[in-house]
Amino acid sequence: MNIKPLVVKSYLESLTEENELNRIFPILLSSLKFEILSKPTYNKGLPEYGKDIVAVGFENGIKKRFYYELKGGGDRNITTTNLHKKDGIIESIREAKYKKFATDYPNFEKLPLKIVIVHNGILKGSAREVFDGFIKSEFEFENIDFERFDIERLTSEFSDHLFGAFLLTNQENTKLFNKVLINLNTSEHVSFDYIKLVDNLFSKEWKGYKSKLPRQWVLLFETLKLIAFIIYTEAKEYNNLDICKRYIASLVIKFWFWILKNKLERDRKVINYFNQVFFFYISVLGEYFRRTLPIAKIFNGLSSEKSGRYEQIGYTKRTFEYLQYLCFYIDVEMELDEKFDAESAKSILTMVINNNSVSSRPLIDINSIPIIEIVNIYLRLNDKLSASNYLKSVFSYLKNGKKKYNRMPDANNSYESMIRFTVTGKKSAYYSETTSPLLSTLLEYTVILDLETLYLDIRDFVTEYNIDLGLFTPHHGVNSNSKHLIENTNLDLEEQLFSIPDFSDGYQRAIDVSENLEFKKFKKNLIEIKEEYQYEYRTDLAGFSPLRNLAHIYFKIPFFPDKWRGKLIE
Amino acid sequence: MSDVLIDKYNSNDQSVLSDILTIYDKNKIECLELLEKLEIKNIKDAERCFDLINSLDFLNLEVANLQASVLIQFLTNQISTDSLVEKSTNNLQELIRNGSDEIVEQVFQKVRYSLRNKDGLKYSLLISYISRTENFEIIKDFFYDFNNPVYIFDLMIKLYSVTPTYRFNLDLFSNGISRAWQIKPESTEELTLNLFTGDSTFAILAVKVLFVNSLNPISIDLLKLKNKTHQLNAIKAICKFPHSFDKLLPTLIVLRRSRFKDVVGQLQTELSKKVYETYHDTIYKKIKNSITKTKKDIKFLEPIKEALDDYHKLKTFKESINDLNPFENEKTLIDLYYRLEREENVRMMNTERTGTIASLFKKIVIVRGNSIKYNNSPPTKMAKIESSLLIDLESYRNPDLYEHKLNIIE
Repeated sequence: MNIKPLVVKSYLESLTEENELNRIFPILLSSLKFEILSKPTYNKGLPEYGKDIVAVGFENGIKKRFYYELKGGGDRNITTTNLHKKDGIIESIREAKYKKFATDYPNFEKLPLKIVIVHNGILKGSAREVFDGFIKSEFEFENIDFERFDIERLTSEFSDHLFGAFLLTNQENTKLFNKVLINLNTSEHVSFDYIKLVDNLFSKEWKGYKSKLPRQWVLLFETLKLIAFIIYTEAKEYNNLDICKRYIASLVIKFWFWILKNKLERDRKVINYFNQVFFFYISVLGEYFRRTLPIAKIFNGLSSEKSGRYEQIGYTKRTFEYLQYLCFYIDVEMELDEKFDAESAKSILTMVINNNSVSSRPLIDINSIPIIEIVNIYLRLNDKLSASNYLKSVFSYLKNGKKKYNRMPDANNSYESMIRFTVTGKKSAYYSETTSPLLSTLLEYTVILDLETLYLDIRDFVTEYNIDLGLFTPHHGVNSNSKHLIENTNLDLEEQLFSIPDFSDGYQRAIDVSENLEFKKFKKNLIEIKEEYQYEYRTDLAGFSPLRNLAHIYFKIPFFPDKWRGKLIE
Repeated sequence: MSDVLIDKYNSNDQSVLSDILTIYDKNKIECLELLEKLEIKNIKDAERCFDLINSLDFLNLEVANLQASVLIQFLTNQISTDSLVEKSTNNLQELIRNGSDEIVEQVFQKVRYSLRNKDGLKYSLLISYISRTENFEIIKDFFYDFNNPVYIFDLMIKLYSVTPTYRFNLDLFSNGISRAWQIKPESTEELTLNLFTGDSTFAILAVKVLFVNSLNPISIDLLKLKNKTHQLNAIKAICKFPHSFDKLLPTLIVLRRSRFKDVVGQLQTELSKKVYETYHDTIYKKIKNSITKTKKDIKFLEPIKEALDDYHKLKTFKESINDLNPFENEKTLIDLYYRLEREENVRMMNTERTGTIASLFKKIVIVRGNSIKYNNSPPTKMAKIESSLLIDLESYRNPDLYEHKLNIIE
């Protein structure tokens, strides 16, 4: 049985919101190498255009201009009602036909015109007679082509030119994709099937190109967009954007890894496609935060009303994870959005932190990621006071946790171990608490923020409980004298960062505060090693520096020391 | 020979006392044995005997034991003057402070079992004994024959003051206090109420006292507190208490009849807070059922009903999306948590643990063979629910902060 068209059809039928069709249809056009001059997002709600998509492309060897009228959502079936209603089928077709489209595309008006009505439903029998009559009277004697894409036609177009051309070319990928979609909400992780699927797609060897991107790669990139979009649509179906938040993050990271590995980060054509996937992800995150921030900003907002005693761990976990993505989002906006509003970003961040008391209660060491991000964002927005207060609060939780409950954040970063400890009072063999990278980071921040008292508190605490301080430092730094120890020589630092969850090509930098080391002396020592690890990231040169944060978040790799040491002032 | 002497003295021939006392130099033990059996008839004789044994023996167990017996005789003898009682008490204190370990144990056991109806004396000796031995376990059954609960409360307050936190272990006092409730309910109630009148740290202790030996709190009449601040203290402490708020409610709710407007207002505020933040419908229903249908009570309920409505709005709002829903996005961890908890419940023994505050309540429950039910908890999690314990949800959200707040003085 040929399963493909069925999958495609049921997917297309599932697009029940109007803008969903609007977002996916251009992907088909660009895979057909049409040049899109105007997309629905640009002119929705501006009826004077009267056309959703304007594109130029070839049909049967003839270059034409195409006006697409998209009818999705409640209007996806053509019925007697929506034929006649305001902004309905008839009105839209008339407007497409009569209203001019302003563009500086050369000779646009001279190209033959084709108007296409696209709807992911059917033409109902009762409406057929009127519709056919209307079309006949409007187009019979005109030099304008007309065509209607219904669900069947859309299915075959998408199967042939998009899914079929790449995604569902073989049985394995078809199966994987089916499994991904079916199991989308069954686990809190990104499924192995999905990872396998994306790996399969990228498995073809890149051989470069001369002037135009080879078609198979164009199709691959379009397919990636489509996958992202399908996952997003499905996640919405589950009313759970957390799903697409993880799945698309995984896709972005894999895509960027592939770019780094093939040294394409300066290739504008490839980057153009990456941008589309990346900004789609950012727009999904934007939607996620628009949905969730009103909740997160309420007192105890991120806590669940029904998961009971599990909240001892769950609420804290949820809060830190929320905060790290919020910081990532703020970073991206700060970096890439010209209209970035620093004050409002700061107030949102502060509200989430203040209303969720567990935001300074680290349970596992990798909670250092949101902690560092929060402090860095405050510092970038010139709010040293909030940065210091937050840091102090984190330390007081750490200290209280150790003193009262004999609990240190697990250096092996396992919430499972923390749950086990909370429930049974016993620490599993995997629970590691004698070394604390998080505390090491906090100590270095006391120098950046000039907090001598906090330094002394941490120092004495570390001494009292005999905690080892150490920071993970990659061997790859420009001033490194341990490059010979690099084990994975196939991949450079960033390629590893974007592909290897247990990144370990580095050393543990011991930090010593023994013998009541004075603040001044500690500061001096730290400034001496300030440049021990520095690195010029290709990702940053390409203008995507926040992406590195996403990789750290996604793979739970602690930030490297250059994340904060650059802020040290002598 | 010796029995003859005793008989003679006891049948009013007090001249033999000199004979008995002269034995002391030759044979201390024999002499003391005789004295132990004498029913001393007058204070003069008693003083003579006391003087003889004034030099206490801190090393010889037998001698010290007999000395203690004689001293105890003085304490219980009708003819003893205050001064003799004082001197004898001091001597017993000396034995307990300075005797060898063995002497201390034996003398104190004697005090414990032979000294009847002398609560104050026994109590002061207990204090000496504890400071010498640090054997706190003795407290557990020490008060079994006390008639006045004031002493056990005094000791409890003393120990609590050392570390005035919720974690203070009442086990040592539970037998004595339970008994006090049985035999002297009025003065015990008064003593408990008194805890609300001092420093507010003691208010939490007061609530703990209500739960002594049982998961069903003893009810007291908070309207007997005459002072506004004290009533407010009681409201705060009961609302702060981490569990069984439903069972404390009947005690608390009478304060709606307080003559202080502020108290009634505070009660409404705190109950609204409980309904909104923690116990929702469960407590709202309970409140509603605990009050009458009078105009005044209906008015009292109004802000609390509003809080409930607000909570439902909040809940609907929070649950309108699944993006933050742990049952969708943290399933594996939730399953792990409850699976381990079930295992632990089966295995758990009455052992001290250093877990979070929530694990403390669990201990109470398990020791008594119950299960925990949280009003909104997933229904499948507990296999068998025989009786339920309502626990403050807040203690699960941020246990560290919760316990910290529980112990701070406002």
